[in-house]
Amino acid sequence: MSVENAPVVDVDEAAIPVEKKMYYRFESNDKKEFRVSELAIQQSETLNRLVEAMGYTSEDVENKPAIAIENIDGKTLKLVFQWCEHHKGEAIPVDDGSVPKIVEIPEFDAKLMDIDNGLLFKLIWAADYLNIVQLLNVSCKKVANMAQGKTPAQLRRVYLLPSDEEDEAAKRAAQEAQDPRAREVEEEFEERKRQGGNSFF
Amino acid sequence: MPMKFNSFPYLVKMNIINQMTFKSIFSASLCSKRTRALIEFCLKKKVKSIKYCFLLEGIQVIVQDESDMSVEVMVEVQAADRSQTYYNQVTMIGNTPQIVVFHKRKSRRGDGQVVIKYGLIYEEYIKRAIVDHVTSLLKHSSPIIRLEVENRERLGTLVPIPGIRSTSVLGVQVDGSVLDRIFKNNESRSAIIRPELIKDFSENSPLFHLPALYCRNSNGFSRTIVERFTGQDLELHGAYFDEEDVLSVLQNWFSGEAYENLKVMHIQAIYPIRRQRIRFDNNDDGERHWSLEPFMFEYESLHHSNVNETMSIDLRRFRPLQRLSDGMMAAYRVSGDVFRFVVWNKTRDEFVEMDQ
Repeated sequence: MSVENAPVVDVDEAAIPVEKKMYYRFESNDKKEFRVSELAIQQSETLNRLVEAMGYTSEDVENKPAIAIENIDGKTLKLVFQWCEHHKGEAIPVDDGSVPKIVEIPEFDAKLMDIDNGLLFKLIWAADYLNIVQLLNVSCKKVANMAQGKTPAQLRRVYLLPSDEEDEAAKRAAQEAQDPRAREVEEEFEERKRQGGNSFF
Repeated sequence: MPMKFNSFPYLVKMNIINQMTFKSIFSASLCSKRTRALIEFCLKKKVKSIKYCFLLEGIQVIVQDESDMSVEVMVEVQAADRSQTYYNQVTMIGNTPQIVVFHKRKSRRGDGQVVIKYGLIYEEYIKRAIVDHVTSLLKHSSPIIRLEVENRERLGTLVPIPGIRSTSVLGVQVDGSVLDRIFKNNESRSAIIRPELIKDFSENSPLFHLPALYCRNSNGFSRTIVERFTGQDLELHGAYFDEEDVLSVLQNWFSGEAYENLKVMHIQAIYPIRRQRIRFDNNDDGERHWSLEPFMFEYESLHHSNVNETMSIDLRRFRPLQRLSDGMMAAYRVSGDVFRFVVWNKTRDEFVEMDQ
């Protein structure tokens, strides 16, 4: 039957059941609870899969305990969910392992990330753990921007990058911690070499 | 509070590095061997081209980002002023430790440019180190490599750069021997010489054997260049070039004595060339135009910056020329002060007569 010939049916719009928006409840590791819309959750691949797998109904959401997110604190989770609510419904960049092309930090995100570096560090970890691709991109962009106009010495301070000497020292310390006898053997070997011995054994 | 970069998961570090500007990437790569190794491993940002600019006072490396075609100075290295008490830091650049100091120059945008200063006695070492360092950082890309040499009071130390596609020489005047030095050091596919040529070249200058050569002001050296050129694309401006020279070019191609590789020659003379005086042989009535299909001559220009840029020339106002020895076709045109000559890689049998 063509579209033109299809019977016309009067629809009482008030009779159409409006689907109730579902809000999931999450709990941070410091027992702070958050209510997050279903659409906002879609920004996080990890949470989206989790709630899909749980198959909660509206009643379950209200009656069952909040979903615990063990390794993220309340302060960080609040930022994460604020971001997700603001960007809900937006297209999610495909995470194909390639590098993000051109990332601009929107005004809202810039304000949201106007935080100390400690919290920004946690936010990036959370975005990575919850697989929120765009939040990860903008937060990484913010960290990348910190390098602008910096000399190597300044970058070492900004990013806490050890110098070659510090790396060497850390490597030695790690080796010694693993095998305390190794250093003694090495020193003995050096001593024998100095004495002109041909063989260590 | 600092950002604990090394505590991030690998993919996060990779994301951050690839969102840095190229100048930040370069600076970060000088922090330590470990940081450099990480950057080299996870840098995926594609570079369309790298331009090494050899200036009187140092070297500048300019890169073009493939994703948005933006251009950025990746690193700028300058000789330090003698009065400045520099040279107090040893930094690993390339594969050698260099005594340099980092100087911050403010910019309008506020991001600043870090300039690396070096003592003049280390000029060659630092330039080599910069080229090595940039090459190894950007090894994942296959960029077009360009060289730009500024010839002012003196030519700074040149160092070899692998895989150069095009070389530009800037300045007001340039000595043939300077060009010899530039092209002896670096094999290039094409050259653009902007300054006025002064003093002669060596007998077998590498300039004559470049695949493509463009001279903006070839002056009295145009005849030497035209005679000795063995490449495929030659363009000379401000040339001393007359009817005799046109006939000489045609004769040399016709007899197979020269221009074995030539595809296009474009000469713009300083005086008009009198077309009526050009009669190449008895069959050349000076009026007969190209009447064959195809009539569009297409070739890949090596002068242009983009890879595989195809240029085309409409030959319908050109005069045809056939080499008797092998039947190969060519066409030429003299118009005002311009002589153009194109050589097909086809014999007469491979064309068809156009419908009149």
